[in-house]
Amino acid sequence: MIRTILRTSSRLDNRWVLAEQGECDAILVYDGEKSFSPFVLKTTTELILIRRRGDHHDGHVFLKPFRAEELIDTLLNIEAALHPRPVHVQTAGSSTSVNFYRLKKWPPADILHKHKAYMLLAGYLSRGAKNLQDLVTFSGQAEDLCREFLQALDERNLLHVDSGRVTRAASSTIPASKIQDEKKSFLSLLRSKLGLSKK
Amino acid sequence: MNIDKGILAIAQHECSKLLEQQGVLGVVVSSVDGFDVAHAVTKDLDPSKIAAMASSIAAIGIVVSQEAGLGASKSITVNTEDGFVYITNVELAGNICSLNVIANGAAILAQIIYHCGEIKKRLKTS
Amino acid sequence: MKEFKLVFTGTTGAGKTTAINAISEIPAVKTDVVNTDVTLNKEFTTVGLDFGQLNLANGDRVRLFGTPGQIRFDFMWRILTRDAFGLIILIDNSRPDPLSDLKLYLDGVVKELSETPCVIGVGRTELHPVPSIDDFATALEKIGYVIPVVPVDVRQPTDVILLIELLMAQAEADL
Repeated sequence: MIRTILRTSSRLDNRWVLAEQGECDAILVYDGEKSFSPFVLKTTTELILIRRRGDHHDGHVFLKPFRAEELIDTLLNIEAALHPRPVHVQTAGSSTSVNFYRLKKWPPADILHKHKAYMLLAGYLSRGAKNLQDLVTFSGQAEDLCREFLQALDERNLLHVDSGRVTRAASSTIPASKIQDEKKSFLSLLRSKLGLSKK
Repeated sequence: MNIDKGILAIAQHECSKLLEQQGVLGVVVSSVDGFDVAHAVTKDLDPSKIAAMASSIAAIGIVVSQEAGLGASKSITVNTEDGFVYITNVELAGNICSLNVIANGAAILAQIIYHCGEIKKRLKTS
Repeated sequence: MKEFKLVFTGTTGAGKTTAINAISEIPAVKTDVVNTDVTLNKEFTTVGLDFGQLNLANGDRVRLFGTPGQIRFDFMWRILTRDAFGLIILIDNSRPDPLSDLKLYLDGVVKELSETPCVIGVGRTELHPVPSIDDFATALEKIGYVIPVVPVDVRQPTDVILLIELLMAQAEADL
């Protein structure tokens, strides 16, 4: 399963491979595992603990039942820490945010009905962590509107917030793969076909 | 589907008789919407699953034949490495159903088609 | 020319065929047959698949597939959802236990959920407001999912398009 995730994820773009032994950048282990043989841990090797969903945990985890996207997020975080890249979160105003947000739960109707764009913004946050600039870029909405939406969610404790440190490179700094380009083109054409346009 | 118990018993008997043919692993009469009406199968086959799958295959066969302008679909054969599945229409007390035969390589398709034709005639007049 | 697959699944009578018809650019191909199940209040039911199509400006196509609703056809759910670009689960809120229905369909496509954008459309909420959309969101949260869930009238193309727009937002977020 792990091999398939690494091979097929367009976000990882084949930058990670599954090793059977030797040095590794990250190692997946069951909670409580003491021996890592035949793997060789470097000082920078990150442990990813396999745990049950709902258990208390710190650090990197891969929760059962497994969801590929979560492992991909974790690997991207590790990758960003191992190989820091310039992060462009330049915003229109002076405010800069490198917090990443992810929905805990689909928001209630009273929040979504406050603005017609809120539902789509929630859609962006329903898969993987996104920062404020991601939301602005994806949605084409004003930064203030996106921020207000995030605040409304945060006030109701509907967000996971990974704050205070850069946890992954901004998507704009990662070269787009051919598959990503094709998908972008497809989404743009479908949007056009359905008479949808970003604001 | 509300079918007379006597007619169902006849359908059941026909399924059992066909199962005796060499290589036949299962015979299922199913409603067009995928319910098992009568069956005789070897222990490894689930007649309710066969009924549902046959109904999907038959329905897709109908739209394919319509699309191709080839008239009404009469039967579908799935040839496999180790045998075949044969699906054909059958009328049971005025209801259109599917007669589904699953057989291994020991069965002869032409013989099964012949037997199914005979069963169709008998069930239609029962 | 590339082809992308969009799949509509969900409870029988929730409007999968109707949703495809609402936006398809070709007359939808249907595999409806006479319903013999007396517990269902409908004359015809889909047993194979529904098929519609959208043609994109560059010649690519979006194929719209509808699955049969009944659980005995769950093999078709798995066949049709394989490699789909998006998955729309339609729930009929007038049925006795819509939250259990949702769980059933999520279980049926569990393999696809981690990789494939998914949205849930709940129909007939005006006459059957319970469970509420928020109840659906809470039920999803309890089983570890954050999936867009919205009220829909699939007879309205705009409602179906909203579902697809939410799928596109997720697909974009995955890039």
